[in-house]
Formats: sequence, C-alpha cells, structure tokens
Amino acid sequence: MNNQVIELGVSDFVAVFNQTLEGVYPEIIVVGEIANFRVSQRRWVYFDIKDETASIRCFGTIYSLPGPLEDGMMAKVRGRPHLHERYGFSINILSIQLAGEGTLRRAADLLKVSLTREGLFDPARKRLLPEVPARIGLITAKQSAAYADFIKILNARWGRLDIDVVNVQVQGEVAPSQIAAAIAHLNTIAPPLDVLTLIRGGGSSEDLAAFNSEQVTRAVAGSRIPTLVAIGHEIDFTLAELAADCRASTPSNAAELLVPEKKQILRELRVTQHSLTRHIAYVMNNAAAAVSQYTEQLDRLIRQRLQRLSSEVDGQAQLLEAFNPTAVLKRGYAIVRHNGRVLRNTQALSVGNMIEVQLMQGALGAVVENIGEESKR
Amino acid sequence: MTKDTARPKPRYEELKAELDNIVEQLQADDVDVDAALSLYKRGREIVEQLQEYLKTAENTVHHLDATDVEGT
Repeated sequence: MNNQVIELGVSDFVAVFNQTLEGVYPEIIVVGEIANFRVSQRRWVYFDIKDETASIRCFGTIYSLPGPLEDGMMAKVRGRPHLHERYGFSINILSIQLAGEGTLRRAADLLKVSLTREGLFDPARKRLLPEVPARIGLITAKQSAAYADFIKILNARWGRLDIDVVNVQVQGEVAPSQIAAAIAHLNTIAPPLDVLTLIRGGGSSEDLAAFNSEQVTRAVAGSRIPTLVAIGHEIDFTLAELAADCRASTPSNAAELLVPEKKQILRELRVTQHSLTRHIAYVMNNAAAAVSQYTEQLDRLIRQRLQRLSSEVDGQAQLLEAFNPTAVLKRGYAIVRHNGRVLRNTQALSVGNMIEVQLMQGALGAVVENIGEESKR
Repeated sequence: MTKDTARPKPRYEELKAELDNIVEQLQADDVDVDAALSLYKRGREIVEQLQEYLKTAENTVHHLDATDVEGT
C-alpha cells in the first residue's frame, strides 16, 4: 500500500480537504447545545454547537432559523461541513431543528413573545367560520388516526362537502415546510375554499414542534381562508392554534365545530314544517275571522241603515198622516167645500150657496142658510 | 315545470336563509292572505328540498400529497 505522504500548499490542502469532506459528508446533522449565538447585519447567523467536550462553529443566514434562538437551546443542525481558507472549519447551515422538551418550550415562548408583538394572535384578526361550509381544505397525515376520526365524524354529521386533503408529514424536519406549502396551495384554489383545517393527534413537544414553528404559525395567520387548527388532547396551545381563527380541542371536535349535525337539522326542519302549518292556519283563521267580522259588520250596518230608513219612513208617514186632511174627520170634524174648494172661512160664502160636507164616513150636500160670527175664530 | 339543471343548486345556507325569512314573514301580523299562501307553499318546497339534500348528501374527498404542492 502506498502510504507516501502528500505534500500540498495551504490553499491546495484546503481544496482537497473540502473535496474529500464533500465526498464523505456532503451533508451532516450535528446535535448539540447552542452557544455564542449572534446575528450580524440582520442577515448572517453565527453560533457554536457544542457538547461537554467539543464545540463546532456554525454559519448561515437568518432564513434557516426555525424561530428565535438563544444560547443553551438544544438543536439539530443540518449543514455542510466546510473548511474556510481564512475562517477555519465550520458547518454551513441548511436547516436547524430544535430538540428537547425544554428547548422547544423555550423557543415557543420566545417566538410567542415576538409574534404577539407583531399582532399575529390579536383576537381582532379572528374571522368567523362559515356556519355550513361546502368546500373544506384539510391538511393532515392521511394515515393518522386524527384523519380517520375527523373524516368519520364529518361523514356522519353532514354531506355534500367537497374536501381537498393534502397529505403531509405533521412532525419531523420537513413537516413545517410541507404544512406551509399545503396552506399556500389551498389558498390558491379558485373559487376559494370556505375553510382550511389543520389537524393532528397529540404528541410530545418534539412531535408538535412543527405547530410551534414560525413558518407554520405565519402560514396559518397569513391564510386568506378562515382557519381551524386542532391538535389532539393538548392542554397547552401551540402557536399555530393561537394564530388560527378557531381552535378545536381534538380532530373529532374540529369536525363537530365545522358542520352541523344532520339529524339535528332534520329535527329542526320538522319543527319548521309544523310552524309553517301552524302559521298558515293562524293566517287563514285570522282571515276567516276577519271575513266573518266584516259580514257581521255589514249585517249590522245594513240593519241600522234599514232601521234608520224605516224610522224615517215612519216619521214621514206620521207626518203624512198629520197632514192627511181626512184624519181630522175621525175626531168629528167635517171638510166643507164650495165649488170644489175647501173652505177655511166664510168670507167667500153667502146664504143660499150650495156646499159639500165630507164626513169621516160619507158626504152630503147643504145650502147655507145663515153665516154666523162663531166661524171667525 | 322544467328542471333548471344549468343553474347551480342553491347551497344549504341559501335555502335555510330563505326558509327562515319565510317563517319570519308568516309570523308578521299584517301578512296578506295571498302572500301567506304562496309563502307557505314555497316554505313547504324548501323543507322538502332540504330534507332531500340532507338524506342523500355524500361527501367527496380529493387527495393530494405534500410533494404535489411543494413550491406553491
């Protein structure tokens, strides 16, 4: 075996070293504790990743950050090991995944503070979910129990829904970017969906890390479609849930919040049917009552009218009677005429004149024998 | 009555809103008898439509994978 030692200039050595390294470790994930974390020119990120005995420098851009970082956090740094001619060895960061319960909680708290300041969780931003959606976007892991529960309850409760499901990983390194891409995609569908639902079952902080990532939280907050996020059996809210328009406690609860219950609606429809019948009966009865009232009123009016008329007629009859010349005869008076004219006094008479005397019953002719004073009164 | 299949079927919410409105109008004291009769008839129609909608409705699921949507 030829173990001749190669002699190289410094730059050549760095180039050969990097070439060898790329061949062996094109990419590597290093797990450790973050130390000396700093951002320069609001763009470049520097920190060391260390354990009890060793420490490696890491270099990257702010775009690779999963959210606010600080010293002491545990992280999995994926990157390319590289020897820089002047700055020495470091890992060029491709992505960072936080690790460990404490770190994840701390990172979520830090991110929560900064996103709260930005107003991402402001209650005023919350939109109402449609009372009855027709088209739903669903982002979840299709093989999960969460998906199965959600669809089962949705189918039992309501029908005629159009559901666009995007099957994503809900945990692990690629989860945040897959979920964010799914949200972006569902927001491009035209006409727009009615609601966008993001669901997963419960899990450890590590399992739920994607739902505390800045990428997913911003994607949920930025959705033009109202969002509903449901993570199973968790007491603490993830940032994605805080950013959502509505949160459900479990995927099953999400289905219950999304759509009404068919059987309940059918019961309500029967009640509405009865109330329709009741109302129309009420309207018809009222109408009938009104008609009979009118009829009574008409009758009364007509009777009153007739009564008034008949009493008028009676009055006139009485009046007529009063003027009836023959009525006086009943009381023993007589009507005297001379030459067919009724006499009221004797002025036109002289003795010997013929007069006709009409009694109540019968009439007679008479000759004036004398004309006396009595008749002047 | 020809079935107007071209026009998109009114969604559940539209039918329900129309029904709620009809019941409200029928509750008004001054509703005119002829109006009440046509409201009642339309109300019955909608109830039957909704019952039919609920009993026959199936959900449709379209599946996509994360890889289909990357880079949206």
